[in-house]
Amino acid sequence: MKKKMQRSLLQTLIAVLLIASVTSCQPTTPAPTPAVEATHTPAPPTPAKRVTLNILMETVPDTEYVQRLVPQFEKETGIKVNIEALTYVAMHEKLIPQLSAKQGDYDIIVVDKQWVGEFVGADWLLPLDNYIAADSFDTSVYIPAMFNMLGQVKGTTYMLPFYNYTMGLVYRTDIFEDPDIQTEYKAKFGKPLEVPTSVEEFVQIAKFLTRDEDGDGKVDLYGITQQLARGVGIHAEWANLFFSLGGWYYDENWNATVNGEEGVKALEYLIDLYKNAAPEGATGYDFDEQAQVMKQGKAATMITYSWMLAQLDNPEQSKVAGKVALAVMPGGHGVQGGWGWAIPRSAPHPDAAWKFLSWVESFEIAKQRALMGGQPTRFDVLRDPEVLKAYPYFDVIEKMIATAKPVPIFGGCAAMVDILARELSEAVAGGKDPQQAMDDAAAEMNELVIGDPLVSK
Amino acid sequence: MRRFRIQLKYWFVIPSVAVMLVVLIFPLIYSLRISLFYYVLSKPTHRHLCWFDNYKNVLLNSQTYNALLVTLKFSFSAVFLELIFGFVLAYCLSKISYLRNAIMSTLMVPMMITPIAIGLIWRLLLHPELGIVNYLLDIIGIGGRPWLGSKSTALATVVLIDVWQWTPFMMIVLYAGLLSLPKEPFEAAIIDGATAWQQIYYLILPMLRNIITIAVVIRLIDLLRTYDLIYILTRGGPGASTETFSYYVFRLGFVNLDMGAASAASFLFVILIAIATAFLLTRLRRGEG
Repeated sequence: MKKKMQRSLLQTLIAVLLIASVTSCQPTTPAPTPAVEATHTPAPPTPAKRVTLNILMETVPDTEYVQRLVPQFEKETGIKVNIEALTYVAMHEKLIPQLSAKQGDYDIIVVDKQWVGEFVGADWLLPLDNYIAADSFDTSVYIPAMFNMLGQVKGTTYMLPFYNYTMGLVYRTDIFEDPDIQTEYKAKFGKPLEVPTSVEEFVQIAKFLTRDEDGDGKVDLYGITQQLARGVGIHAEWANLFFSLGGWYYDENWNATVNGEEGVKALEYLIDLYKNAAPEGATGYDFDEQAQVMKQGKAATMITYSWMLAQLDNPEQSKVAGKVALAVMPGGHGVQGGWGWAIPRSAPHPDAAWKFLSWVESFEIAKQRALMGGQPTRFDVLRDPEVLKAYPYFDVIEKMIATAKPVPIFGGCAAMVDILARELSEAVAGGKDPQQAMDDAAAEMNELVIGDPLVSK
Repeated sequence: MRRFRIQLKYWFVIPSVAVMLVVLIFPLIYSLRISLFYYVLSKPTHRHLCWFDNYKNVLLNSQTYNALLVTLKFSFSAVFLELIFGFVLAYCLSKISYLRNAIMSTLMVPMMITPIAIGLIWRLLLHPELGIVNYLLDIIGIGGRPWLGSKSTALATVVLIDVWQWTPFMMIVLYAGLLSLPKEPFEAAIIDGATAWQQIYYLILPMLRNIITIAVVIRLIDLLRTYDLIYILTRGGPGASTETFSYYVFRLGFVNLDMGAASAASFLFVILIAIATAFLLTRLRRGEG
């Protein structure tokens, strides 16, 4: 009687402990307690059992296109696919505990360009070289800029490039071709109004196009709509200008150079654009709010991601459909952007995961995704006649990718972007002196690289 | 038989002690250990014992003080406004006799929505170009502004959103307190010709003191940890004007992946909260005596 009672008490105790340890995953306890691992029964993939692949992705159009095609894969292979889509900021914090555990829930993840160094440096991603060799999967079809950023790191392939979100200029063709505006511009500046090719010219045009059309004392057409909320957006707005002015984050010895002439100048242009050509609320905008202003026809230009044009051109979503076009970033160098598919080391079913990757990145499926509006990373898809017929502007995107610059691949990349975002936001919304802001960012960036496995000093 | 009883007694205590050990003490000790290491997740080969370097760096960092200041400003202004509005609502509720439950349930709705949803709703309402708040302000001629996008208004806006959500909590606690008050002192006061203001000041507030303290302590502890609202509404921006301490720690740990510094900062903050709570609770106990 007594023993029985003790045993059942013990059992209850263990059950409570298990539940408690699972629910106690707080930021202060980064490492998983052993009990967390015990709750996942590692099930090796047996052919008799139906495998379910869990994939973590971002809530963007390219994810939707994959979701639409997944039933084909499920039918062909009998493997079930479960895609979980989250917003950008939510993804990273969800991934960290998953990736640092020995056994996670996700079989496949998508990796943003600025997480590559971090995930590879921490050794969280499974190298794909053996799978690629065994399947003789051809990686030479990828645009080199994409494969070098979202494929291999120091000779080892960790990812397959998924889609590009390289940045460029979207402008309103109806405004740039308006004869009245053209005459006015020529009278004022002595040269014709054209799509700008330098940062100076771009800032000048954006300020010129900002106007009060109905004369009520309030601006109703902005020269530019920006995304200046503290986060990856404000960093991208600045980096586009920074790259086009010829700047770069670090010198060859990994000393931060953002506080040089180009970095400060780019920030001054950014502030000039915000104060004199953009909606006042832009300091609170992310890319979707920024795009809303464009879709409502209240802005003449925006610097944005390659996939955005498809949305702006869709009459169901946008009042300016048919009146927008894409160009290379004024000054010549946009921010290279893209996502890569990867299999985490903690994946429960790596073999099935590779099966999915080789399917989703096959020419056929990649082309179908592109035809829906997806952004290719493969040359053969980007230049496919059928795809080009549907999206003639893909030749501009090819130029954008060829000229864009990627962020540096090292473990502190996301932290670097975060530091810059804070200082840029301080300067744009808080009136901090641009030189001071960039000096402060540079000081912190120099500390980031110390001890990083991907940094060779 | 007697021995058995003693043993059984301990058996009953062991589960809660063990749960406390696992849930509370173990993470505390583990994070204390981490806080003494140079521990950045993306630098697995560069990890070593650095004793109190993390504490030193956190204490020397001006961002820490900014986060602390923002947290204190945010928490105290929010709890103050919630207390005032909560008391007014509770007092009004106790004076009306019809539809009381219906009104109370309606007022409690914001409290039941998750903070993430609250954040998203308000982000849309406050959208500078397309939100309804600025539209309405425009109609009455005040003219809107980017509430969350400008440094001078962002923190105040977040405070007001929190007040909107959590005033019902204060209301319900104080309302319960008001109902429990004895009737006799009020009857005596009315006979003596006391006005409503005098009744509130000389009778209700002193008698409600303990309840007010408890409600304030609960709200304060909650407010000092605020993270989700900030995360959705501003992500600490513009600049660092709304970066609360919890958000700062989150950034250290999950963006910079610097677990050592994040643990050190949380430790310092836990100590601070513990002292503040202990202070308030001692006052409460002294009040009882």
